[in-house]
Amino acid sequence: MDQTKQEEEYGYDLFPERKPGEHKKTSIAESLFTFNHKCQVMLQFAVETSPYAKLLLSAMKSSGCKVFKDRHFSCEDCDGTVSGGFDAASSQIVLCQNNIHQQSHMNRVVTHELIHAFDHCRAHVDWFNNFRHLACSEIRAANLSGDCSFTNEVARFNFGFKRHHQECVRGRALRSILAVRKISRAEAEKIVDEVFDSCFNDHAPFGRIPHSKRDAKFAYRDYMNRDRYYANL
Amino acid sequence: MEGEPVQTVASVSCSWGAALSVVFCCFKFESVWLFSFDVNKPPRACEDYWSEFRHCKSFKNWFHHYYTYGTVPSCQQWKEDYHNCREWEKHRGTEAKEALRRSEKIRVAEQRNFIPVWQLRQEPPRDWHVPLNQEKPQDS
Repeated sequence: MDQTKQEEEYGYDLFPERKPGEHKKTSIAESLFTFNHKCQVMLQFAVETSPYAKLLLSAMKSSGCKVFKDRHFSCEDCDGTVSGGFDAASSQIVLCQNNIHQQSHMNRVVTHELIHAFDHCRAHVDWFNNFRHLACSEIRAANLSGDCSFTNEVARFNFGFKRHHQECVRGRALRSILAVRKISRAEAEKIVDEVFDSCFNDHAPFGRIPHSKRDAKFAYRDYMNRDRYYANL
Repeated sequence: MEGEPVQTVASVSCSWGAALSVVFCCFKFESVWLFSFDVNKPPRACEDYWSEFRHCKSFKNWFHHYYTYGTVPSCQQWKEDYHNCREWEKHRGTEAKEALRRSEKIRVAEQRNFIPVWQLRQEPPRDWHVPLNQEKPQDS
């Protein structure tokens, strides 16, 4: 396939430093004159302190996909307002260093992308050809990462309360799909509707929808005790 | 919860710790080894049930539950589970044990109440650890 066409079809044009099949190491000059160092520091803090990230990293290690910061994370400049992405071709999580400036935002993006990575690790997800799979992972990531928390939605001037979380998850999953794939809005909505009930109720590896750090800590506690739990059922 | 061990006992082996005169019996589930002090216990520590109950009753949780599902959360089961847990620990009562196990099995079933969109893997992706700038095998 023509490389430009491939880049546009699969959303690689949003990540101009990332060409399919190529790998470029960050130079010292790039580290000095971009937000690369800040991104690395925030990433380190996120993986060490966020209960969401710690649970996902443990679950991935148990599934045979141990995550190494240098191999599986990449801080890069991205187009537009995109915050991050998961590149299944290189098994890397991309963090948009030019668009993430707060630690809370970094925590959320890391969680979101780790959910995609976790899905890639535990299931045969056809990222490039199966829109249902893509939609499912986006629904799960929007649902479980805190993207759709009440405070985040209010900050976006989306004021809703009763069952608003589900509306937000639908909307953000739709946006994510439209950003990286060339399909019509109507088609994307139909696909999201088809898989919503299944994917909204898939809370792996959390076992619950972690609405707050406390929820995430409880989920992490449950995950670390899972051997005892299943042995005594 | 993720990481559920397969429920078949592959092998049981016991060895005497001569110096301490204590028997360690090891049950193997796939590649996970459990020691005897992990079985014949409530699935969770009793304090965990109480903390889940308190968390469930909190305003924050009520708010998040209504924001997500449009209904108020039901917390009574956590309280019952806590009492059954204490009963199990103190008096080793069969009724309390079975009631607690039933309650937890319902929780597990609720977490699995969906038809997966994709097929789960038996092994991780082959190219997960392949260094960058190398030819990657086609992942099936």
